[in-house]
Amino acid sequence: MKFSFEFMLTFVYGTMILEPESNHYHHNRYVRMKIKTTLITVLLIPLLCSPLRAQIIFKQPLSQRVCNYDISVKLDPEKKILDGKEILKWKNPSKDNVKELQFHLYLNAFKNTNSTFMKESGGEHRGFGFNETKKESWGYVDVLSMKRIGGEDLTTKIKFIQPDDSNKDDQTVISVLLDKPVSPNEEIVLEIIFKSKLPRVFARTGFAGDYFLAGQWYPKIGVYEYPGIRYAEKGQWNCHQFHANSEFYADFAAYDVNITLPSNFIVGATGVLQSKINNKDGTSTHHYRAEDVIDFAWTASPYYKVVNDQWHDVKIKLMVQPEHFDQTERYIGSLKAALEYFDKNLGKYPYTTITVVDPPLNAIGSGGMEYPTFITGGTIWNLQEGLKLPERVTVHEFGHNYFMALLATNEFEEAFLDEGFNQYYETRIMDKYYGEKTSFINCFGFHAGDFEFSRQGYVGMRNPKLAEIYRKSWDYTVGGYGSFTYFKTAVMLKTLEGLVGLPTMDEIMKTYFERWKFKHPCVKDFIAIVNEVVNKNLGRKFGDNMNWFFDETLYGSDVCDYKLASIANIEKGRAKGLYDSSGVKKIYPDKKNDKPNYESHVVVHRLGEVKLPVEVLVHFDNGKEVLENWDGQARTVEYKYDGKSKVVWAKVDPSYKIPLDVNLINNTLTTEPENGVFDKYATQILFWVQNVMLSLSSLF
Amino acid sequence: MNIFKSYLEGFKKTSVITRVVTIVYGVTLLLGLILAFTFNSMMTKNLGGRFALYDLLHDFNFTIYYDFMNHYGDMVKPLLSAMVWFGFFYFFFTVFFSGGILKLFEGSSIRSKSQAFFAGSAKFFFRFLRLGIYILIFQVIVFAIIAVGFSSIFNRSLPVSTEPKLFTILVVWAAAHVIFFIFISIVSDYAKILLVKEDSKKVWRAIWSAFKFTVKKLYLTFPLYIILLIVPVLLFGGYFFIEGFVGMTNTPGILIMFFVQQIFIWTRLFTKVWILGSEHDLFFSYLVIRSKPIITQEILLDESL
Repeated sequence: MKFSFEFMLTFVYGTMILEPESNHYHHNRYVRMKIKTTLITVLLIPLLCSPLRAQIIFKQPLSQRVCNYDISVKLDPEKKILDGKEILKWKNPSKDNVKELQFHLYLNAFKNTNSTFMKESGGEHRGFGFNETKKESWGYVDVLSMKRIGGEDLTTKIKFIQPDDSNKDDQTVISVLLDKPVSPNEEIVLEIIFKSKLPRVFARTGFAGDYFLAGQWYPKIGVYEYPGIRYAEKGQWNCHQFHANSEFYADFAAYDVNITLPSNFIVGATGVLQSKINNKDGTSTHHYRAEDVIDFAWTASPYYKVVNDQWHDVKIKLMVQPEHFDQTERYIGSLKAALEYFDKNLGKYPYTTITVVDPPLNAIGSGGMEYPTFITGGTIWNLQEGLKLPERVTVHEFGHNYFMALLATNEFEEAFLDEGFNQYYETRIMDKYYGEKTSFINCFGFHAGDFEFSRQGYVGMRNPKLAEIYRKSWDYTVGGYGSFTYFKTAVMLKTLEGLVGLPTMDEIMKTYFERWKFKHPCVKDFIAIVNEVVNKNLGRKFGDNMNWFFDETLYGSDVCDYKLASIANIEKGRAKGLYDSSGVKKIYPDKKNDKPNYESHVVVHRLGEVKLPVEVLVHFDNGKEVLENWDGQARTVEYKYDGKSKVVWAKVDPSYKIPLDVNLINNTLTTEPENGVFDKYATQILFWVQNVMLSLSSLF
Repeated sequence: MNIFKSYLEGFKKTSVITRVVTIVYGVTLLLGLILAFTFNSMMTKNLGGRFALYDLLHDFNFTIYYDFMNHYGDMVKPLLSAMVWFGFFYFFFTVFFSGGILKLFEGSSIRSKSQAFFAGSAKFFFRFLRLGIYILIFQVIVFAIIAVGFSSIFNRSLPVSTEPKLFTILVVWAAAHVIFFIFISIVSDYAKILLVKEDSKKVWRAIWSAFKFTVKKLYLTFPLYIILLIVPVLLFGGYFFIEGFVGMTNTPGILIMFFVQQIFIWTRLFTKVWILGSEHDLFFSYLVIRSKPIITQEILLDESL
């Protein structure tokens, strides 16, 4: 059983551990109080029975729980500062003697324009309201002290490192050398005193007025990878800098977090609320516990409206802005749809809570974010039903709980394993629940499905060969991160689904999830499962394995484009003139009434470099249809047919199994064109040109 | 009410010159047809057999539409730039025909209305062109002032205001643009009327006199223009209703909608001329014109009317 020492202190002494003058912690005061209070606490322990303890959530840990965080933090809402104390336990999971620890200090990404994040994002990410001339806009995290419990003071050993880009001004990762290494399976316990200044929200985390979204707010230890984890051949830290495109890769942990802030604030956080205690100084302390999660985030604002709901054993908490309250059902409905779909088609959501935060417009940069059991949505006042923004963002961010949080892939190095796989599921869920042609937008006759939109995100690129999917997130230096990581990956998986069939695809994904949850898989682990399941279900239909598919689509940057090049129906000539019959010259009879024979040719071209097996449907004028299977390898293929029927039309990939094909229009060809569609648009062009002219003339 | 009398008079005046309205409509039709036929023949030739596109006949198809734009959009882009040029040309044409229409409202010694129209158009073209340029400059300046002012208010409010408040700011912002656009358009119309009436070349004085008239009789000039603006709005509503009802999913539907569209365009043009006719009537029903030209004098309003 886990017992939260900080929680108990807070409960017993309320404001005593707080500095009343300054309203935030002071380390020396902490130490003095700790001695005093520990004595009293020890005496009171027998009285403090189970209701005061942190409730254990899972009887059996779901993960390895390499770390254990016990954090007390106090928010100063005026200064936007978090004063915190973190007790970190880290158990060496490897067979190495670990001499160095590495931590993320991600709020330092917002310290100045020299951070790697700021340089990559150009100081603009997705929000607004950031005023660089105001001191309060910037954010940082300072480690005031770090010491090994019962051991050395490590504060002076802290040094900033830049493992990704050698940007010496970046302070988002620290290295701490230990004088005594941590042995295999040994647990090191650190006490870290830190001060975090939240930035004005313009990306992911921060404040806007008295709205707070605390993400990446505390010193978080990196992942020590050892042989057997991903690509590691020897033990080493995997602790990346904070980047514009990625921020998640951490080990599984249990968290006990006490958040103290003014009592008028409404709070939500990762995990399960254990207690809320009103202190004498007008503050409250909210104790949250989360287990088997890779991160902890929380939010606070006096203005939230809170809606509680439930899906099976999962408690849903929606924290919505008052002006968005009428969209409650949109959030809750889409969340339940996602819960149901993932549960049925990927795996069980193991946590007992999910909190959805609806940020205000002036902090929209913190919207659309994912943390374990805690996601942020995003909408605007009076949003049309036909614009599925809150639904999409809820489904998407919830899905991250499976890929970023439970599988816990490395977003820095293989972002597509999180964002792209999640995008694939987002499209499946949105299209199922909101319609294949309407799940993205459905307004004024303009409609689009979520998958349709995602596919355009890739095929609509000016240069879809710009990069390959398999690339480190910060290596998309000339753009394309979103298009490849999110959209091309989703289209690639949809194409794989088209080739192997939905049941096999579901089996692949379920196997991948069940086998690798809580274990940090990499893409080669996924491909191994694809090969295993495809071989089991489909034999050698696609060869020895499916590696070729990933070579073409994941590791390669070429495009797929098949084209129905031509259809020709050649009437076979009848013999004319004379022929010998028993020594008599006779003229060939004129069989005008006979239906002629035709030799029909259908030619398909492969314009792209990506080679995928593809079907070609050929339709004849007698209604007969032939489905050809082409391996798609050659540059061109020609199908010939002899008979009384002419080919009327033909279509490449008639079942739409290959959405990776960048041009679906050239997949079709008919010998009997209908020009109705062109007449329609010509008429519309005429009409709107006339309207434009009349409108311009009204300027005079 | 004088305003309704003006509507009626304006309608009568416009009804008399429907042939001229039809000539102007013919120009829009001609220009539009050039683009429409170009588009049609280009598409038929290059993509006639690509039946994936046929989906667009029955309904909007996001995938097909964007695949088309991705791969064949370059074929359409020249048409878009041609559309801009046509709009530019038509602006000058409007400047041209306004003089002719107003001359017809004034009455002409030339028996043939068409001849009178073209004679008036040619006579006033250059002074109307000057007026048009000045009015365009006014529109741009006022637009910029309103845009800068409101964007500053909006940007300051953005980090601190609730969304309903921001929405209110946006609505007021848009309303300010519309109101000032209409106001300048009204001034422009009365300036044109004055220039023709006085056969004057003093464009600035005409604008100033028209401005004063518009302001002094704002309770009439503005409603008159606004109510006539409602007509095209209603027409659009009706058009979309009919389009939804008929649909353009087959040849008869396309044909029906072609005629509906052209009736719509003709009616829009008619309404535009009707506004001018009504303003013409209103203006002169409130004037006591001295022997000297009114542009060079102050406009004297007969307050007893």
